[in-house]
Order: sequence, then C-alpha cells, then structure tokens
Amino acid sequence: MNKYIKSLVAFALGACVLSCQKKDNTPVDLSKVTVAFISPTQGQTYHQGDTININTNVAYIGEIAGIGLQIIDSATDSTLFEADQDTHTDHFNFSSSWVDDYPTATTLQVKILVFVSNNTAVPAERSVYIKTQP
Amino acid sequence: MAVLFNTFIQNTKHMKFLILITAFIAGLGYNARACELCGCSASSQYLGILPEFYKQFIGVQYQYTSFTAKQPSLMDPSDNESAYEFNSTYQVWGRYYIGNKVQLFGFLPYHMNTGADGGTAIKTNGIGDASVLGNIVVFRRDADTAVWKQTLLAGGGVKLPTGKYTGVTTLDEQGLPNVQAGTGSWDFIVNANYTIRYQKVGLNADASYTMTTANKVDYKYGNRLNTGLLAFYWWQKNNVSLLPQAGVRYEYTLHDYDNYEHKWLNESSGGNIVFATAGVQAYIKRYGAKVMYSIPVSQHYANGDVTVQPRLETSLFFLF
Repeated sequence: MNKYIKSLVAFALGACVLSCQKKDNTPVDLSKVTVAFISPTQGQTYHQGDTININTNVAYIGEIAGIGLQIIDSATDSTLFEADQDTHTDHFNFSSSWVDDYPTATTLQVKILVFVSNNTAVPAERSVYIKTQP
Repeated sequence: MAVLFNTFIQNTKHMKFLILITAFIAGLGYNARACELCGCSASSQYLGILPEFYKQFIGVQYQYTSFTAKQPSLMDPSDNESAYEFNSTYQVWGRYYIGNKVQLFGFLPYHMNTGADGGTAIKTNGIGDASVLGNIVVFRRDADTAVWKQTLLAGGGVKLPTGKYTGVTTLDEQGLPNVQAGTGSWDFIVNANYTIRYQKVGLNADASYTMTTANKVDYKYGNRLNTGLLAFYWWQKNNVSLLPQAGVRYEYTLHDYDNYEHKWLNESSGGNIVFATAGVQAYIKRYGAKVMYSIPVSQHYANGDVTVQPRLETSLFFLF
C-alpha cells in the first residue's frame, strides 16, 4: 500500500508544479498596434441617411483583448455611435456600421480603440476623419 | 465499498417508477443563468459512492448546471453586460471489472448547451468528449469481522476529443467557448476514491485532477481539481436500500490559455467553488437510482464575474 501512497504524494507534488501557470510577459507597446482602415477612407464624404460601413484589420504583436469603435463629432466632441467587440487573438477583422442620421455638416472622427491584454485600461487609438453633410 | 450493500433488495417492479421519478427530477427547471466569460466550465466528473454488490454496471446520468455572468465593457468598465449559460448533459457510463483489482470506467456524454450574450441565445447540442478511466483497488477491508470497512481506489484515465469543437468562433471571440460540445483537447485524469464505513454510517472522500492539453487552435482549458467528502447512512427496509448522503464538494480550476503557445493566460477564467451537496441513492435488486442537489456556498470564478448556480444530478444504474 505504501507504494500507492507514495505515488499519490508524488502525483500531488507533480500537480502542484503543473499548476504554475506561465504568462506572456511581453512588455506592452501600443505603438505596435496597427489598424488598416478598409472603409471609410480619410476625407470621404457621407450624407445624412447614408450607411457608414466601418471595416478594419487590426493587428498587434501580442493578444488583443478587445476592439472598440467611436464616431465622434469633431466640432462638439460628442460621441454619436459606439460599438465594441471582445477578442482573444493577435489579428482581427473588425467591422461595424452606422446609419448617418446626423443633421449637421461637420467632420466626424472614426476612432478605433484597441485594448491589448496586460493593459486594458489604456487602449491604442487610431482614427480617420470623414465629412458628413445633411 | 463492496461490502456496503452486501445484502440487497429484491423485487424490481419499481424500476419503472424509478425511471419516472428520475426523468421527472431531470426535467425540473430552475432559474437558468449563464456564463459568458471563458473557462468557467468547472465541468465535474467524479465517481462518488459507487455500488459494489455487483461488479459491472451501466447507467445514465443527467446533470444540469448553469451560470450567470457579468462582463465589464472594455469601453466603459462601469457598464456590465449580462449573460447566461446553462448546460444539460446526458451521459452513458459504466464500469467493468478486470479480475478483482482493476476497474474500467467509460463515459460518453451528450450536451445540450445554451448560452446568451446580449440577448441572443445560442444553442449547441452534440456528443461531448468521451472519457476512459482505470482504477486499481488499492486496498479493501470488507471482511464480516472488520469493524471498520474500508476501500481505496486509485487510478487515472484520459478524456478524448470526441466532441465537436469548431475552433475559435465568433462566440469564442466574445468569450463563450463553453457552449461547444467538445473541448478539442486530450486531457489526462488521475483520481482516488476512499470509503470507510462503521456499521450503517460511512464517509466517502474522492479527488480527481484533470490535466488539460492545448487543442488544435492552441486554446487550453485550465487544469481542474475536483474533491468531495460525503457522509452517508445505509438504510434498508424490505426490498429497498436507501443511502441518504450529504457533504461538500470543492472544485478549483486554473486559468485557461487563449493561446498556449504564446502563453496568453486568460485571467478572466478559472476559480474555485465550494458546494454543499445532498442527495440519496436507492437500490432495488439490480437497479439503482441517484439524485444529488448541490448549492454553491462559496465561489470565486472569473474574478467574481461569473456566478455558478445550483447543480442537479440524477442517475440510473443497472448492475450485472
């Protein structure tokens, strides 16, 4: 019976060792975040009632925890639309859409926020600016 | 454990009644809420108190588990999205003795999972991951003269990736890998089961540890420890044996890895839970049934964002 008890103890010790979980400790470097805007493009003009399709390819050297989108009136700094998506990958095709119902001619900031693991409090931000007209 | 039930009941005419009772209990509903964060599936596979008056058995288990979850929005951490997940598992399982010292167990589950995130429910049904376990009877003290009757079983096994796993889906990206029927990974299990009885009162302690491996998309579920301590009383009258039992279960699950190769540790997964559990086993001749109900009394899953709800488990056995 002793050998079985020894085996159990050996296993318990082995399990403790296996329970140590290594973690990717690559330093966070938000400058390594890339966001390729497929649409909209910089300076593109939309009219009230148009659907603005936001389509981006996002990549990072480590894990991306989530991606957010904000459409902001640059003149007033008010947020007109928000969306977000959780991810567990190092590259992601993020897409969303918004029907432009804004009645004022202005410049809109289409901002992509990229939350990387190990530092979700401060996202990387990449933007394009488009125009909207009534 | 063999000696626990060395005299057994006659008359099996109540089998249909038992089936109806179990089916009814299996069908009972209670508030089902969910788990939207990764790796909160502390899926529990344990042996507990096993009948030993016949060597072999085959049975069907039903287990109902559910979770609720809140997930802080990345954009606004004060804004929690709620989600739920509930899982029904029907499992065929059995035991086969090789000689007097070696037991083989087989498990084949069928999962019916539902998860919802943001109001859209996603259902996944299918055969899950099959498991095979081998146990050795380390010692057995069950002579009629023994005041304290004891049995210790120990062994191990493997969980096979037989369940459907579709890789990283949109749901996975949203943190819902658990709604899939399979894990896609080979996992290795070791377990031990000890029973001691004095006259009609006994204790059963069991522990199992599951060492997971990464699946084909490098997702690795957390290793799991599952332990339990049950006190039972062996009551017998006429043709019926009943084993009312109560105790505690403790489960500990390590964090998942979103990508094991890159060591992307998912710290929104894993945790621990203590259940208070109570139930009863009933035997009539070669037939048996079991009902267990477990209530979480303490838990910390996914940084506290996941809440495990009460768990129901029912079983039917045929011994041969």
